[in-house]
Amino acid sequence: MARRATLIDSLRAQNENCLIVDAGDFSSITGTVGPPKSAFLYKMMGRLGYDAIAFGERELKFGHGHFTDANTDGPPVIMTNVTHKQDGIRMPPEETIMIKEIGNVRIGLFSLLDLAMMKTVSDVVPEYDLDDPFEKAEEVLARFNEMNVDVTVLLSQLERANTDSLLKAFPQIDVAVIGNRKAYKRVKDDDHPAVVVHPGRRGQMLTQCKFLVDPAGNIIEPETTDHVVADEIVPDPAILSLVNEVKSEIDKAQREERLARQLEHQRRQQTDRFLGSEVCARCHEPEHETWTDGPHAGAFESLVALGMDASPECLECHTVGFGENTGYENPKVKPDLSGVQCESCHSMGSQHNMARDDREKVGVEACVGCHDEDNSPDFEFASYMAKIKHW
Amino acid sequence: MPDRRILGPVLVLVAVLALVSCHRGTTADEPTIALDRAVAAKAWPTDKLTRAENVAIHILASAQTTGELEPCG
Repeated sequence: MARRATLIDSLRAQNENCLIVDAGDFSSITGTVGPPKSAFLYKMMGRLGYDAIAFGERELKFGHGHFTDANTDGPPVIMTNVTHKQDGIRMPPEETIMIKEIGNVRIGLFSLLDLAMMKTVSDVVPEYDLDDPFEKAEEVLARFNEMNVDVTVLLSQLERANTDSLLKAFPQIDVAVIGNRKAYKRVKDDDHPAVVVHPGRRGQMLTQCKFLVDPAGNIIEPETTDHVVADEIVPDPAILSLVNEVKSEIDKAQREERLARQLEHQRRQQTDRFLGSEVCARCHEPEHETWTDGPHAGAFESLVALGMDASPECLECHTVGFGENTGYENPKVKPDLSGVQCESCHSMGSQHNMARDDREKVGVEACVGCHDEDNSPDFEFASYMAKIKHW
Repeated sequence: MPDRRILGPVLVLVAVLALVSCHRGTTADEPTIALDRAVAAKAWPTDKLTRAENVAIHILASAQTTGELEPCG
C-alpha cells in the first residue's frame, strides 16, 4: 500500500487528468485478521485518492455497511446490480453509477457482479440480491446516453466469458476493468471495441490506461501499461507508518488469540506434543524420503526467501503447530518444526496409536485451512495430492 | 339518477383497483424503481460538455489487492 501510494503520486505528477479506480475483491477473508485488515485497505484507498471502487464477492460477504459505515473517509463504492433488502424494500446499498468530469470529459462509471456469485453471497448475507447484469447494463447505458457521457467505464466482477459477452452486446462501453478472481487470465479479445484493463492478481500491479477523447467524444489511441508495485519503489513514509501501525495491532490480536489457544490446548491435552518429522521417519522412512523431496518440506524456506519468516500470519501454515502448545515458535525454539511436516496433516505424533490399523485417510479438510483462496487460489484436491503422494 | 344495478358493480371494481394499487405501492419490490430513485436523487448533469481539442485521460486501475499487507508467497 505504501509503495502503491508512491507510484500513484508519481503517475499523477507526470499526467494530468487521472482517474483512479479499483475493481474490487480487495478484502482478506483469512481468520480473525480479515475484517480489520480489509477495513484498513478500504480506508487507505480513500487516503490514496481513489475516485471510485467496486465491491466484489468478498466485500459483500462482510455484510451491508461493514466498510462504509465505519470509514466515512473511504472511497465511493459503485454497485450497479446489487440491491439490499430491508423492511421489505429493495434499495441499492451504495452508488449505482458515478459521473466524473475530468479535463472537460464526462466519464460514466458502473460496476456489475456476476449472477454466479449470488449463492455464495446470499448464503452469508441473505439481504443481498443481484439483478441481471445485462438488463442493468442496458438501463445504465441508456442513462449515460441521456447524460451525454463521453467515456463509459465498467468495473467488472463478471466472470471472463460474461464480461466478453457483455462488451460484445454493448459496444458503447469504452473501458472494462477486470476485477473478478476467476477472470484473471489475460485473454486477447478483438470481437468488441472496448479497451480491457487487467490489473492482475493480489494487488501487485497498477495498470495505467491512457487514451485521447476527441471533440466528438470518441476515444482514440488507447494504450495500457502495467506498473508493478515492486520492492524497488520507495514506500510513502506516512502510509508506511500507518501500515506498520495496523500490522502491529493485527500481530497483537493474533498473539492474544494464540495464547488463548495454547492455554486451552494445555488444559485439554497436558501430555500431547509435536514430535517433528525425524521421529516419524524412524518407522516411516520411505514416506519421509518422499516428503523430503516434495513441496511441503521447503515451505519454510519459501518464506525465508520472501523475508516473511517472522510473520505470524504466514508461520501458521508454513510450520508445524505455530501458536499451539509444543509447536514451532522461532528459529531458536523448536527449529526442527519448520516447514509443513507429517504432523501438519496427520495431527500430533504423540496421538499416534501404533496398534491401530484402521486410520482414516487425510481428506481435503486438512488442506483447505492453508490452501485457501488468498494463498492458494488454484488449489484442487486431486492434483495437489498427486504432488505429495507418499503412500 | 344512475341505475343501481350498474353503480353497485362499478363501485366494487373501483374499490378493488384502489386496494391493488395501494398494495403495489407498499411493497415496492422492484429493482428498477430502486435504481431510478437513486439516479434521480443525484440530479446528474445532462448538458453536453464542449471541447475543441483531444483530451488525454489516464485511468489508473488496481484489483484484488487481497493479501497486500502480508503476502506469504
